[in-house]
Amino acid sequence: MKEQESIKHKFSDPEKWVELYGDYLYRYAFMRLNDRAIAEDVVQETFLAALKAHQNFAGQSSEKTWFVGILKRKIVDHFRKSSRVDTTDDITKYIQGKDKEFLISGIKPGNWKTGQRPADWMVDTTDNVEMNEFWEFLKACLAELPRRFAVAFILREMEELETEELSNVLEIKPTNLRVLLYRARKQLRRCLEINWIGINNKTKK
Amino acid sequence: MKKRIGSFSKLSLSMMNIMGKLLPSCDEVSRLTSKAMDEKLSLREKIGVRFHLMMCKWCRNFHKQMHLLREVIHKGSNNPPESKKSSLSPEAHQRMEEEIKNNH
Repeated sequence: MKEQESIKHKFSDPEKWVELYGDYLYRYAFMRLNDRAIAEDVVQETFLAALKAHQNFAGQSSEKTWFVGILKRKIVDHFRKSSRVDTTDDITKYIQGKDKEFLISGIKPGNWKTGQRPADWMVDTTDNVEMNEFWEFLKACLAELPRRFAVAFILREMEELETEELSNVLEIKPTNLRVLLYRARKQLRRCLEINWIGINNKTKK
Repeated sequence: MKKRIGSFSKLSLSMMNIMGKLLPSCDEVSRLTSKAMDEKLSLREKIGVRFHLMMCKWCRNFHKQMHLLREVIHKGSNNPPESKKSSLSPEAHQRMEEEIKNNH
């Protein structure tokens, strides 16, 4: 333990920050925000906040980790503000809508409809080409979701926010958040199956 | 012989009916699969999901895919893939360096 304590990370010259961390922080932010201008703004805010607070930098974590920590808060703040402003995005409409993937009547109500059944994905997660494609398709599929679905998914799966915090950020009830995350996952799954995996059940009907 | 098959299928039909009432449907199981990724399921829910998954290929696929997505995204989201377009624009880079200089 003592040895660990003695390894204190040094704080580098702020004038080198952009060179050292700018691109990494930008990629981190862009992955979540999917907008160049917003991502660059958030990174800039992160550097300025770091300038103000760098006396507090305890050196327990690496400098990069410290920057990411600040950036994470800025990203969550951005989503909090934007979901408050965006009143056109009527959440109740999506929450109350029925799931169209399942049979409503017949011998087996609640079963997957023929064209909706999840296929067997043959994925090699160690294949770099395949995984690079994955991120491209994930971005495209997220863009097709209703905005709040995408935000909920990003904050839960990429930022790993706990659901309690997430329902505070989005200002929705936990029960509604549950529906939101379920629908987001379900629609993403379907979109990725068709576009990334390349299986289109519709044509095989 | 015929009679026996008849009574057997009747029995298995009524068994299926009972199972059908006890076990959650695909609709419920996929909902619960998602729920389980965020919070704890009740014992009843857990058992229902487990038995359903044993019998249903589609929901097994759904379940596997949900976990694959989580694993891949967790792993990748702290190491954003590098590509040509994935760096700060020169203008933003310069702007930030100036801002830092002025506020330092």
